[in-house]
Amino acid sequence: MSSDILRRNNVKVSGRGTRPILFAHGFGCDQNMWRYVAPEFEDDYRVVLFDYVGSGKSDMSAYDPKKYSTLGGYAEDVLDICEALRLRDVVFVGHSVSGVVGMLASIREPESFSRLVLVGPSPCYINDPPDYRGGFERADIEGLLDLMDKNYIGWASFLAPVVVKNPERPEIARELEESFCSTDPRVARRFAEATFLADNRGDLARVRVPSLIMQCSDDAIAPPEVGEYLSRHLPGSTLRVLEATGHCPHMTHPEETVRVIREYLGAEVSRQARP
Amino acid sequence: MDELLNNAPCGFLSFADDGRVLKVNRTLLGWLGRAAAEVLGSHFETVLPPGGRIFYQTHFFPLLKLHGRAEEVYFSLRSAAGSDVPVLANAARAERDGAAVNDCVFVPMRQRRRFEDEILSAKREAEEANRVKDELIEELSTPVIKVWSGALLVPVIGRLKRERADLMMAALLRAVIDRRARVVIIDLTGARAMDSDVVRHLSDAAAAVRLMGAECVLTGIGASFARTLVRAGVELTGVEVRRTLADGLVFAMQKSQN
Repeated sequence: MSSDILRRNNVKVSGRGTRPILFAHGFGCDQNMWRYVAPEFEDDYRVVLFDYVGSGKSDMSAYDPKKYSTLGGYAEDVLDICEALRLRDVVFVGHSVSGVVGMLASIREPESFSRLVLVGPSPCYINDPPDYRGGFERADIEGLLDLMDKNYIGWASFLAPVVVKNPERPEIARELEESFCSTDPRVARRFAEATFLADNRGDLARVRVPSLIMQCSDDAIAPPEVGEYLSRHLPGSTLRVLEATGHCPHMTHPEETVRVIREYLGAEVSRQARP
Repeated sequence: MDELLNNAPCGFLSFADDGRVLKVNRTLLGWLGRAAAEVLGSHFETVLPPGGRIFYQTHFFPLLKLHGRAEEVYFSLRSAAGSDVPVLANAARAERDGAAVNDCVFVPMRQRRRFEDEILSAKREAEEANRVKDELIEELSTPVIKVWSGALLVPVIGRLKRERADLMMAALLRAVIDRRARVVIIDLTGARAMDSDVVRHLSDAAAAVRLMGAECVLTGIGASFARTLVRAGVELTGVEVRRTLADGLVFAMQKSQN
């Protein structure tokens, strides 16, 4: 069972420490996104990387459209991995949508997590006037889905059967993988919908694990107001505004990203009293 | 910038890893309806519609950074007037003056976009039609009809394959319990050729129905089915067989009255 999960989510464990740190990738890519950051923690931590089912080199046969049409399904992946590796007091580092995924997982099993590190998180991407500005209108998200459809055009009808029929020619699959990190367009689309149409503002107050909100300067996907909203509504959270711009500081500014995470983990944070 | 590149029949733009636009050619500025000063130094995202910004951050840039290049990526660029210019982009990373830069070439694809929109909508329609068809087929493949209280009829129509026989058997056994059936008619009048595997399956189904305390009648057995039965060496012990559905109904009526 546990080895099934490790294969299903393409789990990779490394590092020389005992305390587990789990890196969760965001929408659009896979664990490769952490390649400039995760190795920096190998001296002191047990580093765990994985791909969500449907992304990267996960087991596509385990993909359940219903389960993965909400972020709760992705949170189950995280909890499954914690259980399979018997992880306790996990430092969960989640990029973008994985911030919310980590929160949901920690609400379900608070004992498994010691800290949440949220890189460019947002509890809701859609504007909800007059009080909430997520940064996007529903039509913008439609624009994204359209863009994805166009970029994946012909994948299902042409390339997918080619890959399935040519297991002896891995270079075809590799080429595809390079053309886009995630694989099946229907899967990517569903992940996009689960991510950008979700509203998890109501869950924030239920989070009991202390968290770090890493807010980038000038991030079009998670604007500064969202970081501020989170720091007001997420109990036990610390807001850090990075010098890094954009939405992927772990790729564009890995040194700052590593430093800020280290500083946070080094500091003593009083754990919220559990109800 | 080289005059040749500046006026080339493609858009050219170069940006730093933090997204700042370092170079842009005149052709692209023309499409965007913007002056060089507006674009240079601002973020590449400012020439994208909001959905495109997400795509840039979650797909385009990571791809470019991890693999050093990106090819045939579809984008929409947003002009100063607010209209979108659909383009195909090729991009490659390079190093200039000691820093990483991302060079992109854009080719407009207005005609092609119309064509692709049509393909996409045709594809969606086809997928939807397929889904409806699959549902319908599944429904049709396993009808269990209540003829009267305690009597069920399973008409088998068309080709009976292993998967369908499985579905049918499951639906039938469920119905026997749910509707407290005392007699079940499996009518093969409309069935087309079936192999010995399926024949064995049918006889298993009949045996299971009997185990659950109901009688099972097979009706409408044609010549080819009879031959398959004999060839497969299947003996329908304990299963009533009637030639026509009418005969089967008479039998069922008698059983129901007992």
